[in-house]
Amino acid sequence: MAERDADLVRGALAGSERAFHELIRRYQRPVFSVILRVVRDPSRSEELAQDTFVKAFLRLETYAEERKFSTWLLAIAHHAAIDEVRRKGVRTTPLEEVPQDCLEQRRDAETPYRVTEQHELAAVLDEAVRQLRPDYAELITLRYEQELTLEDIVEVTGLPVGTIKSSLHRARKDLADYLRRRGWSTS
Amino acid sequence: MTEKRREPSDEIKRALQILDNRNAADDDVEAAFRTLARLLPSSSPRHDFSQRVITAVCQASLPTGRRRLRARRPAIIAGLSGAVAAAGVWALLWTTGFVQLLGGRIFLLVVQGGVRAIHSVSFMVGMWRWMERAARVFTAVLSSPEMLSTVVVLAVLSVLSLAALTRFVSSSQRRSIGCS
Repeated sequence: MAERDADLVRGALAGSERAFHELIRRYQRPVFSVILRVVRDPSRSEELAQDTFVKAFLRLETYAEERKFSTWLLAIAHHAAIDEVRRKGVRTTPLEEVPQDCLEQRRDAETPYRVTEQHELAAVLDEAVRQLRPDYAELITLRYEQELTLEDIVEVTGLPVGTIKSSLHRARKDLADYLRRRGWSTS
Repeated sequence: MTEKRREPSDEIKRALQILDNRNAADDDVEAAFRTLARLLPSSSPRHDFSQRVITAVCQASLPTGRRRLRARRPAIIAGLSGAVAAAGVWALLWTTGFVQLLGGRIFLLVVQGGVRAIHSVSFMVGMWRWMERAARVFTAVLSSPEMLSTVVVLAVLSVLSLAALTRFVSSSQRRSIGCS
């Protein structure tokens, strides 16, 4: 049976490298994804993801077990990303500049035709998300890629739930418009 | 500019239809976006990311009272390496003659300690015998008739002298009060 996050946190506090290594293994993808959506620079995102885990380790005793470890950690990642954008602004990276080992296409299609079609749509969607404002792109990632609840997003971002709902609504509209403009429409 | 229309798969087609429908229910829109988000490429850091984080954590200065991370080796390996290390140290000390010297010293100390313990026990026995003799002599002297009569005479003399002294002190006090 997989160890609970709270047990791993206790292990890491007691000095177990294995426990902290397991926490990194579990959450490196969500942390990196969220930061990459906001900062849009893969190498800088990796540095910020590393800083996020180091900060998390240094503040580990402040983590309360009744909270979700994932939201506690993503809140640290959110602040790291937002601080970076405030300091340096946002850099837009074309898809072909993103290292291939950072992007892993999901392989759940059956036929070569579907694979090609889904790759195309995935690329357009990725473009569409990167066209969004960084805060909208982050909310889209948290809500639909990481599948967080609205309450969890409130905890991660510190924004009121009404603001999150209206931002998500606008982000969805922008995404749908972009897809339509790129020919991904049924009407 | 709008590009030519695509022919997506059924699931994606349904999701796109929901996005096109401006009157679609919120739950359907959420589900449609979840379907589309599953297509997004999953981004992950490079393969050695976790090891680099561990290295950075080990180099960071920790708050007071916090333990550093350490890799825990399995108990069997730790036990075996401990036993091998102990055997190595023992062999080294044996070949240099240190063990023999140390063993001789320890044996000598044990023998000396034993001899001292025996000496102290025999001294205690001698002391006990001497005290017993002294007590016997004392009780014999005290219980003789001559000694008893001497003690009685001394007691009577002490009582008489005490009475005389008390009388003398009280008469002198009365005299001093009358003068003032």
